[in-house]
Amino acid sequence: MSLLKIRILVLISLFMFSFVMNGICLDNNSDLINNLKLIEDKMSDINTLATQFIQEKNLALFNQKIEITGFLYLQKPSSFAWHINTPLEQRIILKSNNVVQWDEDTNQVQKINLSSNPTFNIVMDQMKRWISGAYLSLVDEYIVEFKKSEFMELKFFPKDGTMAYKLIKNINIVFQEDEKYIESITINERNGDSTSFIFFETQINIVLDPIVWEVNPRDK
Amino acid sequence: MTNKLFAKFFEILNKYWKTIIILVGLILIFSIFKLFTIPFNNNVELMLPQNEEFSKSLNFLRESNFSDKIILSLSLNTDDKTVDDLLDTAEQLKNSLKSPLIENVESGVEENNILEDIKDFLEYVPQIITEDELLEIDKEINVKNVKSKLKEGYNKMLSINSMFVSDFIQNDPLNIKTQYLQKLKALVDSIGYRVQFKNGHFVSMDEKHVMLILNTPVFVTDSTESRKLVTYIKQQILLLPNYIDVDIIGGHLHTLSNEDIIKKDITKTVIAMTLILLPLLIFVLKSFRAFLVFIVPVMAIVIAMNLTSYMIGTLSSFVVGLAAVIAGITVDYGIHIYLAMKAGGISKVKEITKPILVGVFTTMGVFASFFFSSINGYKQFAVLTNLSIIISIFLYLVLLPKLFYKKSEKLNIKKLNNKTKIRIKGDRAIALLWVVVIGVFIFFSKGLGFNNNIRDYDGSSDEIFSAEERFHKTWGTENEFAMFVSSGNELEKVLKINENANKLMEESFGEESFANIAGIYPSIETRRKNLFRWASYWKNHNEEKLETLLQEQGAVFGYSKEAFKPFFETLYTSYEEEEEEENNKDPKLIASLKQRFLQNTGSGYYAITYFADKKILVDKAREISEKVQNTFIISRNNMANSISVSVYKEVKKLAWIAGCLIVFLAITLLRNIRLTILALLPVITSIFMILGSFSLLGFSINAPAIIATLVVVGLCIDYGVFIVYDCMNDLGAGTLSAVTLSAVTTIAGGGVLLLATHPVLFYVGITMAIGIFSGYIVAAFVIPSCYRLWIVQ
Repeated sequence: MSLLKIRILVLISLFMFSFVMNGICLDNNSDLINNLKLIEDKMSDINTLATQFIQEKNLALFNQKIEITGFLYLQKPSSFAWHINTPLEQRIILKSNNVVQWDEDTNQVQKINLSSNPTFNIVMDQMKRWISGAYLSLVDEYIVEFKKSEFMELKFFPKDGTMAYKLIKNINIVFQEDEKYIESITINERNGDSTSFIFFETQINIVLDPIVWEVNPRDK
Repeated sequence: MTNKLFAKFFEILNKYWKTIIILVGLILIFSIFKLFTIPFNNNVELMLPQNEEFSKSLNFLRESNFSDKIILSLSLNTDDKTVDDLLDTAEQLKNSLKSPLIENVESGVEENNILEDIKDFLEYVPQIITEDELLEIDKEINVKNVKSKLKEGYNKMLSINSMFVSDFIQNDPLNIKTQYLQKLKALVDSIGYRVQFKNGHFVSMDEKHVMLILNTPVFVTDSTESRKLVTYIKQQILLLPNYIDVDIIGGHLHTLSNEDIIKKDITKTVIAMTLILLPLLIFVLKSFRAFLVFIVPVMAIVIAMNLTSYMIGTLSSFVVGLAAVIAGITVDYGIHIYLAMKAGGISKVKEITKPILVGVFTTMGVFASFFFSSINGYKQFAVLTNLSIIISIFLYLVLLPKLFYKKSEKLNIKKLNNKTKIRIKGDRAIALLWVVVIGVFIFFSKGLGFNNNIRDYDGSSDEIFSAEERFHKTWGTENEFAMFVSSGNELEKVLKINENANKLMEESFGEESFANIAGIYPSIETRRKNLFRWASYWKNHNEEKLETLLQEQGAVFGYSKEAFKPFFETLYTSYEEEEEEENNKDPKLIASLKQRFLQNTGSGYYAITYFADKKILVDKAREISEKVQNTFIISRNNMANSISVSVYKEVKKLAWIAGCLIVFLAITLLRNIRLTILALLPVITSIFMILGSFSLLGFSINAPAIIATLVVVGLCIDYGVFIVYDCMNDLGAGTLSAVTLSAVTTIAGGGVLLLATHPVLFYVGITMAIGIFSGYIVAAFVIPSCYRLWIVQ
């Protein structure tokens, strides 16, 4: 076989390989989109949600990990309440563009307009997406890996050039066995810190007590 | 003597008539072609007084980049689309705007690097911590405060946004530097738009609008380039999906709209005047060749515009807009000569040449007073009108006698006079009626105010104003700011002046807020001093003191030993960079703010302090400006007041000069006090009729109206002089007919300006119409009665 023929054969092989790989990649990508769509569809059935959570923070700032417990409430389209019970009572209530914050230490209610607080806005926006299952909208900012073994699992790697890239290494979301809601979220930060949320006793589409959206400072 | 001169003049005309006609024809053809090359300027500045404060303000606005921006406000016109669609379209439009007329497009702030930018700023903070602030920091380094701050930090770490907070706690546990972010934010909030950032874009608070800011090298006053720029932008907007509406905001649009409206007004005026004057001249004077009476002023204007442009350069569109009025003025002399010609040929023309010249000189006297003005537009007006009058009278005297004298066409002036010259027996009743009417209008004119609002001269279309109103509502820019400007050739010097001004404003303004960048961007010298003070403070055992306190108190909350290492590691970063002379780059957060507070004009710098445009604050700022050299105030309201004062002074000066000139010329030429008073009756009447009518119509007197009044005065004295001459000499040259036709043509010339959309031309029109009408009535009816009562009896 002449050298020219070998060259042509190698080129054809490379071309065919790249063609096939491209197809596989496209296929993989469309599979992923389909899976994310499926998850979104399932979670779109959730109109209200009440769940307990345990949050563990491993931070370089502290010698020991911090454990936080509390409740999370969600009411679509845009209400979201974060009640922390231990180690310090805290309430964060988000309704559309406004956040009301209170903690037992200061016993003061702080009102924040997300429009005027870009960092808080980003955090709230991301949390809302992770908790409500709006994962398709994260595809532009994250490389997403879908895994399904015993539990369905999603891994998000921030894309270079995004704001999340500078802070977050990856986010791991594991779904409950019945795939109705999230079992845990783990956020690994670039500085080595990590935070994990474990959700349990999750109740879906229940009538939420209006009190969960209220913040009442205590009488001193 | 005069008669001999006229005889000689007509003799020469007769001798060289053909040569003169050919010469005039050639000059006219040349002028018509040259007309298309005359540069026009529709800048309102030309019509405004040039005092030092006003010039400084205009220079500042020209040199700074405030006016050379065009803002596009995009909005959704359907509920089917979301803010994301709006952002996509904004990005599409931003990318499509590629033209040498657009330097760059600002669409927002890149959020991706915001944390780095904040950290960058925090490292810079030691440069702006003053001696007093350092003393405050020193007071905070104690057990109680450190414990409280560490607890606060711990609580923050329990919060949902701890990811963003942890870095800041590590870098600034006592919140020493972070509090300066508030200072920075306050500075942004104090002057900016009501805006939020979404995906790096300027988004309105209702999330329904997106803003793009276009920086352009095109000056607002450059109408040719402005037209290219706006046309280009509109073309790109047309390519956007139809669910998007775009409001274009910028001074360029005002320039173009004013130019378009003035052009339309001029066309409208010329057409209307032609439609009114031609039939008038043809049917009343019953000769097609009467067209020449009408065309001479147009020829005169064409030649005068060329000569004026040759002498002055760029012509003001406003001044040219008055050309229709000037046509109305000069046509008067043609009518007098024409009627005299018809009545008795050259001999009659010779007879009326004297009153015509009295009229010409007094009218020129009024316009000559404009030479004494400091306003360039007024000077142009003086040159243009006087040249027009001279050329017109020359052309009339050259052309009319030769072209019109035919025995067969001799007009029965006596018949015409009988038609128009009403012999009134009740002279006393007429004089009394005049006294009553003038008394009533004097009474009403008392309450008349002076309008100094320059914005009232802006004739831009409603579409532009509506877009601006929508823009202000959406982006919250209703509040007007005044500016305290520190200027100089070197940045460091300007920063020092600004620092000084900031200090004085802090003392003077009290609780009233103002935005000055000196707090976060003082002079290099001050920053260096602050930095050295900061470094020596920590080196003086305070670093060890704080480290021990943080470790002891941090242990209570479980903080690790290394928790605050980043704070101590970066304690001297800025200082070390300064020592190694590497510290020459401003933090990005400051760099973006500097665009608003510091302006590099190429030849120097401006540092700008913003404050509410209230009189009390402007006065305080002015006091400071008087103390600090190389500073001045830019205030829209103040500018209007300053213009008002200058215009008032200017007009008062011109009115005095014009008044003196008229009286002087009238007395000199009429050589009789009583006759002079009679000749001035139309002038006095027209002035009070204008003032009284303005008051009754609910208008305020303004600069264009005053200028038009002076024109009216110049014309009314003509009417007075002609009628007085006629009463004295019974010329039989159709004087009353000529005055009537003159008044009608001038009212037509001025009256058609009532059709003008542009406010300046409209005010000129209404003033002309009222003034000439009242002046004519008095000249035609009151002067003869008064003459009989006062002179004859």
